[in-house]
Amino acid sequence: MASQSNPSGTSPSSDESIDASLRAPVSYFAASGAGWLLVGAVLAVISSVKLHAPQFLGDLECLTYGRTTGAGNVALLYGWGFNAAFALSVWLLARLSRGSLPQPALLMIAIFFWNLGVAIGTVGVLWGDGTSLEALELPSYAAPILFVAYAFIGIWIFQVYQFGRIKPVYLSQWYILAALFWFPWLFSLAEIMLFIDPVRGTVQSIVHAWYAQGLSHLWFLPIALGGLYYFLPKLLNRPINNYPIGVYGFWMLAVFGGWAGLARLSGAPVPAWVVSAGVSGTLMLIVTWVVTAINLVPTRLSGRSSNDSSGSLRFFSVAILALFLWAASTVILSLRSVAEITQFTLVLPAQSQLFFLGVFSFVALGGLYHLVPRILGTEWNSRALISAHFWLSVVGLVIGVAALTVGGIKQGFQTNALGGGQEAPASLLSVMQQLLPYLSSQTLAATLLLVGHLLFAVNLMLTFRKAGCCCCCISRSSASTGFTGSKEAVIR
Amino acid sequence: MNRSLFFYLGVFAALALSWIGVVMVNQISYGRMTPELDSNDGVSYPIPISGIAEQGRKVYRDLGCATCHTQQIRRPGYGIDDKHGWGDRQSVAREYVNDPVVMLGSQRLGPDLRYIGARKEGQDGRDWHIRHLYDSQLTSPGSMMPSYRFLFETKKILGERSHRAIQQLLPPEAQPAPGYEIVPTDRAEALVAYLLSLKDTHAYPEAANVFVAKPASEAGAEGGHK
Repeated sequence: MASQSNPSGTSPSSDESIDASLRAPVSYFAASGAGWLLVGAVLAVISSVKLHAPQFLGDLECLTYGRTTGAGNVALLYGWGFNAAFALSVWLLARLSRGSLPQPALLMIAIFFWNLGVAIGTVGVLWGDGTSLEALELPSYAAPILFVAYAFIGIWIFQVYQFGRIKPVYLSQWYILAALFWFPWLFSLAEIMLFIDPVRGTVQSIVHAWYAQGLSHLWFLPIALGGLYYFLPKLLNRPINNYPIGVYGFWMLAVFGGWAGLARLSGAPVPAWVVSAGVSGTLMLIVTWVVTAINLVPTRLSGRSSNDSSGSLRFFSVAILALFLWAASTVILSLRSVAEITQFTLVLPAQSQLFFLGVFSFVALGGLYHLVPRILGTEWNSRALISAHFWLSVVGLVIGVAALTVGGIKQGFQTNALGGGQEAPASLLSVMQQLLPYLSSQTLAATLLLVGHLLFAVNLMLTFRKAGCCCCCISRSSASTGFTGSKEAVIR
Repeated sequence: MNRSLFFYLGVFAALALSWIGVVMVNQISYGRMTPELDSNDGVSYPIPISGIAEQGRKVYRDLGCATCHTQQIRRPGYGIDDKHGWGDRQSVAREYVNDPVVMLGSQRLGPDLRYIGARKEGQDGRDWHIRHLYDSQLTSPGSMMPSYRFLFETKKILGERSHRAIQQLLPPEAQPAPGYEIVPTDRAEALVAYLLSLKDTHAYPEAANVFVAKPASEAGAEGGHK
């Protein structure tokens, strides 16, 4: 529909012209992602403090623990996670398919509405309209805004690929295209079956488990893998090790990714086969983990970084390490005898932190550190800030995940199993008292992450300024599309 | 082109398969489950909860109580939910058919609440919840549950004292100034009504099927509901 204005329609696009067409929207994605990352990190610190100092900000209804946790998840998942995923996917697809973005200004409006939806969602949860369903805390009135905004963003990103000349040949493209396709299905079906025309009884819990699982395995994970399959060979100047088998990993994830989440319903009032199906799905995914390990690990180990001026590679290395730790943990924790102990404990938040902050966010940050200089045509303002961000994130991640895992295992044994000869379990109060050191460590971790992300945001702003971005990048891109500019399109 | 078509069909089929297998099969097999008429007492279980308790469920949801409290008891022998006294049989799917929103929860930073109404009953239960919500330290010293004092109002006594005033349940240091009283808001009353309504200890036949035989020494021990 916008093919006349697409500069790549007739001649192959150069990297520069592709990047120019992406400059405004990707900057907008990056800036709003960084903003939401900060909001989410602040709410995460507040929630974490409340667990060992319950009276902290206790008189404010909108900041009660149940709400700050939910609002923090909305800001992190839908604010930071999606904006970063959009930035990564549009840039990667443009590069891989050799297509540039038609009508970037229209995409900017969609991004504005996505952010509006997330803002309404976050405030809605704090205001008391949350759904109390993990990973889907958004009030149902925010969902249509997100859905429509997503439809535009998804179609626009897809157009980059459509207008490009290289059809799905790379695994990165496969993973990203599939994720772009899966999310709207997951989201709309979950919204319909939970809020618009709710199913009855614990079928709701099954729909929720399916969605929450899909969000991690069929949205964030494929985007992260798509990034890794692109960036590793690019930065290391080496092909992916044993590339052809990667296809099997992709299809196994596609087929079983939606099933694996049911394992978390172990012991819940749902049919017993549901949990068995979840455990089987989780075990089938071992194929994906083995294949990605064969693809990624030797590739990473064999090469030396060749064109990594932003130091992205270390982010990807941490992400790969986190990916396999997390994958192993999903397999182990799905087993019924393990779930009996670890269910309902801090091990679960540890696991989701390892995935979202360790795997996805590290790929996304590494990706942004790589692509922002390219779309802005200038280096990062400060490499020292990148290093500081990297180390704060790594230390924060390790402390947080370790503290929650160790604390959670302790909690699990004390509340879910009886020791030898023990008649009655320890009281929950005494167990929680013992968890205080771990919960304080989690606050330390959340604070380190917050400081790190603050440095990221500052560095991003300074780099925008250095590139003279705020006004000129939009005028540059609108010049190529005939767009005259609008308030929405200005980078915040 | 054929290759792309194959790709899109495959991607679509993969998700459709999980949706049909995971969601639709369950929706068809027990999505229309109905309450069960017990021929012994002529009552259908689960019993619908009162309107004010239904309001309370919304308060439970909007405050995010499910972030720290589950509402699902696992079968005796899988975990030790029964030994905690949270419920001596497992929760079954039929119990939830009247719940407009099912909040099973995934975290137990506090106890399971599925049968809290059977443990804290009547006026004593109400008083306990009021004290606990006002300040969890009054009933459970060392608890990490935050105070929900914002669900209470301090009001000037105009004429007669409100019959809903609750300061007599609070310690001396929490007493309001003379001439004032502390009254739970409607939301607090609804939340307490909801918590008191969580007492569906009816012996559903399907719960009996999955009971694990207990060793003789424990057979007489009544796990929960105190």
